[in-house]
Amino acid sequence: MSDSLFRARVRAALADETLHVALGRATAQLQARRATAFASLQDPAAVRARARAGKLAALRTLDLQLEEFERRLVANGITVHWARDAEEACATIVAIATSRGCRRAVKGKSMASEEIELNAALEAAGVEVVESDLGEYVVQLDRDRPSHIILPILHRTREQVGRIFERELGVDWTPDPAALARIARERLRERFLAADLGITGANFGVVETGTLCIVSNEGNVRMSSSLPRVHVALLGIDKLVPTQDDLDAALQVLARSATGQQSTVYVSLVNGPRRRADATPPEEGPDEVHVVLLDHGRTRTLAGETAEMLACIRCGACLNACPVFQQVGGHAYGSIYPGPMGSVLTPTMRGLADHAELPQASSLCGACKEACPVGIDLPRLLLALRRATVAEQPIAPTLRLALRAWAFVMARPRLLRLLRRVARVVAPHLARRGWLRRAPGLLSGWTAHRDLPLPAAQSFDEWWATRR
Amino acid sequence: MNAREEILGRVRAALRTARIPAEPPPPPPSSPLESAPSHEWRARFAAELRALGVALHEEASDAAVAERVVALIGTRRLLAWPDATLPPAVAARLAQLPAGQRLDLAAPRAALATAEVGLTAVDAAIAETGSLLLIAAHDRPRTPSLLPPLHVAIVRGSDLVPTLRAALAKLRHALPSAAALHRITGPSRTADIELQLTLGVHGPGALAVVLGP
Repeated sequence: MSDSLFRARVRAALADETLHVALGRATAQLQARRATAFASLQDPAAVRARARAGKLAALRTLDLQLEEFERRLVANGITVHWARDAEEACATIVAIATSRGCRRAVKGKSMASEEIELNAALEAAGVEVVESDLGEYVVQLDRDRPSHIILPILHRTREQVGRIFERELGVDWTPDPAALARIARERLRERFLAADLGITGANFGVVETGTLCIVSNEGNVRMSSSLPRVHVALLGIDKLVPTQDDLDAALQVLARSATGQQSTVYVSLVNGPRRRADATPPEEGPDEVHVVLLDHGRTRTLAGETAEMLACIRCGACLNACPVFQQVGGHAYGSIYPGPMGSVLTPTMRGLADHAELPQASSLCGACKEACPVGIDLPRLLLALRRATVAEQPIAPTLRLALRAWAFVMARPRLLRLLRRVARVVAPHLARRGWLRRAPGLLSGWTAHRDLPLPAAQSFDEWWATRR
Repeated sequence: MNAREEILGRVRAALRTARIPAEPPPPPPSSPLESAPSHEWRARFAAELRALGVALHEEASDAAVAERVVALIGTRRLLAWPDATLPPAVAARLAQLPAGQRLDLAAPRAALATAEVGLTAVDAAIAETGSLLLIAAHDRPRTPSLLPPLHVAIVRGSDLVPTLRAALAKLRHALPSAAALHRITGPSRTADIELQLTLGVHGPGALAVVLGP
């Protein structure tokens, strides 16, 4: 992604009024619901601390945890695959499908599968794939991309969803969410019953028991992991928690942070394939369960300053809290991981050189850190990436000169006071309605993106001097 | 080098420079319910179910539970757990339903999908969150709590536990041999379209709990 593309997307997003209304309403509501949900805990800080500790403990000895997790999975009858990158992950899942004669796949919502663009790979191999999460289904019908990691169609109004259904499914237009959900239920029910492959992500992998934990509110994950004869779960190597107690704490903060619920409706704890195919009637459930452990850049995030980012539980709370996300929405980031978490994940996983703009797309206000249920210090990580950017790509000479001049002035109080007096006389002549919109000389670069207020009649240090 | 070895090698190399805050793990958070008397679990369970929009029917005897279950089913097509995993009084009462109303669990899936009511017992019920825990096993099929538009769950007083931790402790002997465990908290829902709450998008849109003695 080049800088100019990023800027073009931001400009387009800022000009989209429908998007603004949708984003404003949704993020405000989500934040309010989250606050209410945490208030129902006797000691929210203790639950958050435990959830954080579990994720960090898994990361600290990640190599050993992965080996132990694999041992437990295999003991439970699950086949384990490892994938270094997107290509290998797609090839692995395609091979599972084709070698077992699977032609019709249903998918639960999985950001990892979006990341590796799994649907295209399966379709190219002749495997039909249908997204079963309502939001992801709309995204798939519309050949769109999700704009939020929890609410894929946050950028769509109900009227737009109605038109997508009308166009793609040939049904009458309706803006009623309940009616739209009913249509999706009917269409997808047929697909669930006919599917021979279920693909899901996983929210957590519990090391001590070799269990996959997958949550959903709609029930589509239960369908995908229960009805088809083969179940494949794709999970990043960062998804581990050591114990069931860690899982308990993580589930409590995930539901509250993501959707403001006390509990997600369905929590599936998958231990393996069905045990008694020989019983009468035979046990329900898949004959085979496969786990694909995905790196795809996660080990790059793990190295150095940004390791803490892998504690992320993908709740989306930092997106909703971020003043930049609230203005531009998810698509502007050009990655399926938007907002503050994405601005750390994308440059570290995919390479800083191509995504250097993302860590800059933050005011470092700290709202994301406050919202994060596992206490990831996102502003610190964003700053670390900015430092790395400057170290990798020398800054423009004019900017360097301007910064030197600024430092020179700020270190000399008399000079600063003199320049301030000059500015008070000159600035009003350049201003329009109290704001400096186009400053002269080197300062013009600054005002290209920001308006400057006029200097105050009395500065803080002048006011302070009168008080003493 | 194969993918496994290479990924583990990358992890080890990354861990040498990884900056991971070293914080001692705090104890698992405890809930005041854990030390509360069990009648408080019952009250909390009922309150949570109401908040989730679950229809709760409290019955004083096994016979009353069976009558309530049959009344909830009415004349609708039923997909139920096998008799051995249902309370005996309920199983006896179901035997009196008209022939054909209760679907045969061995029927093809397309037939099972026509069920209008699903009936199950539970392996534990969590008071703190109003959740039901169902083990997936050969005598505990998954589809009755998943495919029909209404799920009726029978909860005995002895199924009640205060928290998820307590539930997992209670089921620790059964879990390792089970293919899956499902926790159900309220009816199927979505808020994907403009955050509008919509029930029953894939799973049952209605959940009823018959709470016995």
